[in-house]
Amino acid sequence: MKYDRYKKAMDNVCDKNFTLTAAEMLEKAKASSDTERNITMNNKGKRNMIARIIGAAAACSVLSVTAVSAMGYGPLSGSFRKFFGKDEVTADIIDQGHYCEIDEVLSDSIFTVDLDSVTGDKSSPKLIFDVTVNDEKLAAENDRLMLSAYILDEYRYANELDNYSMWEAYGEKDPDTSNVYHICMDGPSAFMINGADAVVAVRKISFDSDTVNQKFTYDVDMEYRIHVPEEALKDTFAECYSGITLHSGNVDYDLCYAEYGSYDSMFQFTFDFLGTELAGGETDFYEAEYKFDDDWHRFADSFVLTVDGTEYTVKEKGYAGCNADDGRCSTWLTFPAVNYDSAESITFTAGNETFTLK
Amino acid sequence: MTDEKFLCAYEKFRNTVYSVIFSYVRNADDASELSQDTFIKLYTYEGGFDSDDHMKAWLIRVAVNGCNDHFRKRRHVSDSPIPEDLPSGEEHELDEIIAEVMKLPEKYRIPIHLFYYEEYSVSEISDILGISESTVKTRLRRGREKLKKALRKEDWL
Repeated sequence: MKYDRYKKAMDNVCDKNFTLTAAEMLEKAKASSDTERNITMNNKGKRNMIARIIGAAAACSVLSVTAVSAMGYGPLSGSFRKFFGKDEVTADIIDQGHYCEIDEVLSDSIFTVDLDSVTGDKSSPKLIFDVTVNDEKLAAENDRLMLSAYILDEYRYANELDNYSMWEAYGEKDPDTSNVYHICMDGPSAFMINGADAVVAVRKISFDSDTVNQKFTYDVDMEYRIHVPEEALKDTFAECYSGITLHSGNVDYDLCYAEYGSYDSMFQFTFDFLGTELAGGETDFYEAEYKFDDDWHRFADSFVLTVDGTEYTVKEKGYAGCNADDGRCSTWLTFPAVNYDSAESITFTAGNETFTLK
Repeated sequence: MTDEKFLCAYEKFRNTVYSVIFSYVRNADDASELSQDTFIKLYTYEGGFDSDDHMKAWLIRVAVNGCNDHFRKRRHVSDSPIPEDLPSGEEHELDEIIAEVMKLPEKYRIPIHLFYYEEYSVSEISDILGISESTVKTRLRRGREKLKKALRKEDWL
């Protein structure tokens, strides 16, 4: 983006909208001067000031299939399929009994948010919310809304929030209740498996249309603390590899790990960038990361995962990150989900090389 | 701070303060109010500044903190990608650039603004936002990628 064009455009916005003269600002400052003193400049301090009592994490019940069927999202009621009809994978997982009821409800003046349950698998957990919008007009003009939430462990939520972004998901309106919306949100497996206690902090609810209030995005402050038993999420199969190296011609990528889940098959690779021609003498990876991402993405176009004769191309290509301590970089990609357990043969083809994984 | 110094600082940094706040809240009225709050804090600040650059960085950090407090107080903030009161007479290419940047998620939008408007380095942005340099670089890169897809070629360096 050109510096001068953005700068000029933003200066125009400033000049048009912030029109207080210096003299006027001075008058206001003088009038308010008794209330503002000694500003604390430590940005990091704010992260520790979570004014919430940390109570016991909400217990999450792992239910048998029979019990699940009695719940709102269980297989007999078919509610999950009714509200999230396109997501057969999650519906099947619920049918298999991998479902953890939470049913914790928080409200403010406009919204009631029920964190209903957790489901999914250990690489792609899902959180199901029901949101009631108490503003009838706002609900009337929106068939969907978007929920935004932080999902982290307690330490990172309190101390490292700036390093993480919110998870977002759209939810559709209930066909029978005009102000209720159902959301199925992806969650981070890193903070939701292995018996983790997680903080789910719903911070924003957004709408496409808001003709009455003209707000569009509403700030909310709803924190849920949950404990997800490991067995509540469907197992994935993880495999570590060594001795499998893919050669792009510029970089050697070592396959180190794969996780075969219900939603996708994720492969992680590591590589060195120092000393490669692509790095061109650069020692700071992030000054050259464009080149490595381009190399990886171009190379990944040639990858094929073959499972019992069925070929799959890459579903999503990741971006690289580097460990400052050892200079070793990692990247990833996903293929569509495959059934590792039942597969008799799995191979990975990269360019002209084929590697046997099973 | 003396009145004279305050008046000079205001004239010099009013757009700096307003633009960074606008990038956060994306609402002209809230940005104006929060900008005034920031300058009021400057007037009553009892510490000193080594240089204009020092004052500028201080103002930006106070502005950023003010925006975070604003969000936490659960005040409603308009999230229109293009503010209603953006002048309708602006040339198309100016509207487009601001609109596309304002559509970016906050984690990309703010480093992009500090980099392109204030011409801060990665290191300086890292200090202002309290995040690591590698995080700043990643967010700049991803913000640029999103803008590259949205802006016309002649607007892209």
